[in-house]
Amino acid sequence: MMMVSPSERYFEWGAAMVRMLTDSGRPGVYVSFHRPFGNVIRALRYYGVDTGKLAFVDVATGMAKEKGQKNPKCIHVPKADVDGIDKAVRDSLKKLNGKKFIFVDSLTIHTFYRPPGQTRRLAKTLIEKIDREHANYIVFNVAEELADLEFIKALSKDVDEIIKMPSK
Amino acid sequence: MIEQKIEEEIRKLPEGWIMLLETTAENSMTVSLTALKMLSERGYSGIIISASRPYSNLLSVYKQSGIETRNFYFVDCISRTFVSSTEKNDHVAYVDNVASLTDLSMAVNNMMEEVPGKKFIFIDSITTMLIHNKPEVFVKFLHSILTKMRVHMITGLLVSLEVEIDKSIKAEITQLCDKVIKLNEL
Repeated sequence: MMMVSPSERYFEWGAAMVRMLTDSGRPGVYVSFHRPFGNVIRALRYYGVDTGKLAFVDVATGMAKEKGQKNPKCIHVPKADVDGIDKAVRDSLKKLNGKKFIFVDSLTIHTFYRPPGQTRRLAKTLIEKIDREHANYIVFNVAEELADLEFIKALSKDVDEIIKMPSK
Repeated sequence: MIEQKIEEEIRKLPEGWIMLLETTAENSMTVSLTALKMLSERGYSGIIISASRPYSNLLSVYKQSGIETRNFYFVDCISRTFVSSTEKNDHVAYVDNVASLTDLSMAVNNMMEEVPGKKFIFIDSITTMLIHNKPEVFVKFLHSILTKMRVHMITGLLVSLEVEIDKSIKAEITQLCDKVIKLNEL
């Protein structure tokens, strides 16, 4: 699924989606390119998300060359490489039981640090998790104004559903 | 009215959040002064990244406006290019120009480590910085700085002027912030 949100309410809508999924009893893996672990957990709680149901893969901290805060709920990926992120998501999914989801926050930020071809490969690799690792949903949150980027257009062909969130 | 709106928003701002203040060129100084005065009165130390005015000028404007600057630290991206002699003290770091993003990043990192207490970073302005940098390079720089701020729980205020910029760049910047406050129509 691709979730297209207006940039001004981007995180708010993303949090609403995660909240809906966790409230329905599903645990999930939150892959963050946008925010470091400590910040994302505070921000999600601010929007009422039960973060106890989430495992985190923090790519943002490593991309900013900061050292990640150690926490059993989070795997830090220091170099934003596709294989590293893939392994971290796989390991995080293994920790969760039952029907689960993957939420990808701001995949476009990966292209600041890596060529778009790698980001595209990463998206495909994550989509494959649905069958191989028993994840039931994968949600890519994308800013509405970035939906015209080539790799987002390509990604939109690989997803089953695109949801547009309103600006108000 | 601008003052009231900024006060309302800053009062609601949780610790460590990052706010984008969108305003017009004519209102930008009022917006900056109001925000800085409020943060100073709330006991914050501030790191001010100036891409528009030299340190000496900012200092005198702030003082004239009754803003306590004792806990303000400046990264001045202007003076080395436009001012013949620069004042040296612990409250200011100079970088060659607005396009020296590596130097700017290092100066900000040093200040983040050295400035004590709860602090904010004020960037004035995103628009000016975008004029002097390749957008994709600047957005990467911004993501890096904002992530560091989030790691260290530093509050951020970014001023952006109401001018035509590429919609995808604007969206990238907007999505990096926690809240956008439009002060254009006031």
